[in-house]
Amino acid sequence: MNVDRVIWIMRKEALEVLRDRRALLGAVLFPLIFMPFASQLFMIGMSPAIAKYKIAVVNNDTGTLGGLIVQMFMMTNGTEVVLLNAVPADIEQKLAGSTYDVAMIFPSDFSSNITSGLQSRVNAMVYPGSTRSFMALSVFEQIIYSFEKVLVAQRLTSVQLSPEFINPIDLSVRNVGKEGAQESSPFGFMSAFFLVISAFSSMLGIGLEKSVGEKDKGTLEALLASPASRREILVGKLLSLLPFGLLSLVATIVGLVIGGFIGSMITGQVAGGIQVISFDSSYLPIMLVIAPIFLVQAAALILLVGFFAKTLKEAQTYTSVVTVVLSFGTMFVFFLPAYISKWICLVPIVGIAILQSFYVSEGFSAFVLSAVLIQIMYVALLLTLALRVMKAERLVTASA
Amino acid sequence: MHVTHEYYNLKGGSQSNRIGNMQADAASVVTKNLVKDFGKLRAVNGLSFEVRAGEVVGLLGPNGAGKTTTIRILSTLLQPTSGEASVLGHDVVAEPEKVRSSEGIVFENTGLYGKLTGSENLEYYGHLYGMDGHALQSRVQELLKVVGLSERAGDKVQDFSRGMKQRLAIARALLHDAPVLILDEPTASLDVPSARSVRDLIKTTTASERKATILCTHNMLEAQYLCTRVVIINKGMKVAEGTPEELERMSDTHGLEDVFLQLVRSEAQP
Repeated sequence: MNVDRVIWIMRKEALEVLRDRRALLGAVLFPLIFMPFASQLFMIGMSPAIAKYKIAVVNNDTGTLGGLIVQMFMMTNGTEVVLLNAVPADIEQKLAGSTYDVAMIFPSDFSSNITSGLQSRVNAMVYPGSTRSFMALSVFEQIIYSFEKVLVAQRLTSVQLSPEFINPIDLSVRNVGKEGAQESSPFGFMSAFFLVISAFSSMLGIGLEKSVGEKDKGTLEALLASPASRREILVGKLLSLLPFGLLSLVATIVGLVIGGFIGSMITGQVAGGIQVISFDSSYLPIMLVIAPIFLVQAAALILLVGFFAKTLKEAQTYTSVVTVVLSFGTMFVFFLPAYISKWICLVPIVGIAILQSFYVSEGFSAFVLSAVLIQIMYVALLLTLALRVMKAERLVTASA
Repeated sequence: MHVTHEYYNLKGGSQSNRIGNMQADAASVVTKNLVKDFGKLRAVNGLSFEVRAGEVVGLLGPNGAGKTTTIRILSTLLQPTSGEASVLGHDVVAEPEKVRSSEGIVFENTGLYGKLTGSENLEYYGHLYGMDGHALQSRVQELLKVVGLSERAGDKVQDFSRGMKQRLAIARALLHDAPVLILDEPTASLDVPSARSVRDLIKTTTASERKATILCTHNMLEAQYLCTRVVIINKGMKVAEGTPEELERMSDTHGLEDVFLQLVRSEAQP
């Protein structure tokens, strides 16, 4: 392989991208601005500190306990209680439209049942399509639980029993995370996305332009007829893609740091604060390992598809499927049990993107190192496949 | 009229004579019984011809005759199914890089990079051909002058007219001073003045620098003007070969277009 030719191919490809403002905007501005702020907005939007949970209460209780619980609601940060005389006829629409996040109905015998030692019931109405509805319900459940504990303690004391009599085990929860871990924990979840969405997406547009785009524009034949071998062309194009993927990734992380800082400044002033996504440096060692592997895998896959497809349109059809699979695959794998998601670490591209989560729990364990080695093997496999596609007659004969 | 390969193979002579000629004046491009199949379709069927230095050999044929496939084999983009093809003695299958280094090619689509300037396009290919430094710079300037693009050298190619792009593509083909030029429809869709300047450039360069030039064209007047010899192919096979005058005389027609039509039509008859 002639290294000079590879360098010249790389330089020319990079020069073309640098002269294409759209490609640069996609590689830098999108991850720098859109991704982190969209993520912060998601976290902020879910937080009750910015938009309080609206709880509609219909208190029919003839006693005082219902009112006491309602007062506890009112005193809770992030909740807004709206007292109603009766359940509105259009409660379903009001819950669906977020006029209320949850509705509570205290029956007339709520207090009397409790004081009689019977079980009392509170009716809660939620809307299944609303995440906030269920989050508001969880706030309500915590209050009911606290209230219930006080009631039980009073009942036990009245019969000369200590509360520990029916609550013999005390679950002590200790946060062992380092300082700021709460803020950074979403980073682990989101960083795999950032790899897939930012780096992959920015390389995708450029990579297709460098492969099937050359077919579309008719420049590929002349290049293939030059002394540069197909291996040199592939390597040159692949290497030219990597800086833009890396740039995109760095832009995302920089955007996260800025977004997290601004988010903390804004939301820190709100009572209770908001969990913002900040860069977590504990992921840095594994990111330095997996980012290059991910970028090479992604670049090789993009060029493989790009050189295989006859037209840009055909390539976009393939890559849209690939992007959806990668995005959703990366998202859903976090909801799987660890013993399943561990196996997914052995899948190319998605696997390398989620590997960092296991690094945080295991460090550079035998599993993590094996997975890294397997992912490096995928690099070789994808490059071999891409080279085969480049050497196939189809590359020259298949055109629009 | 029944036309056979042997009848119109006026220049080649017998196999032994050809070998004798090659020793005296070795052909720069040689194809022997070249065959190329795409699945069940035989695109090139036993094609043999030679091109010597200083010659412009026209490869003429209707659409689908196998011209582009032949050019792609000669430029090592495709491998032949059987038969041989060589450029300056280098086999297209065994020594593809040496073959490519020996050729300057102009494809029908110019294959220039729109976001690069005229001189950057030439410099890029110059580097791929192993040129560098002052030699490359002066060669680029020289060729830009030859093709009349010196003043537009710093402009992006996407802003060039079709004729300017075609002239730049020819400059790219001449860049590394390759002994063999392969030109596929170099004047297609050019206006009359641009086409004329490109033709003159081909004629002058081939004669003065003794290039072995293969010209694919549908323009019979162009072939008549430029070609020292013509190979007419149809359905992948050579149906005639000779100088335009020889072909006119033998087919008793006037002009290469009539020769071409007569040969292609007679081949189409059962």
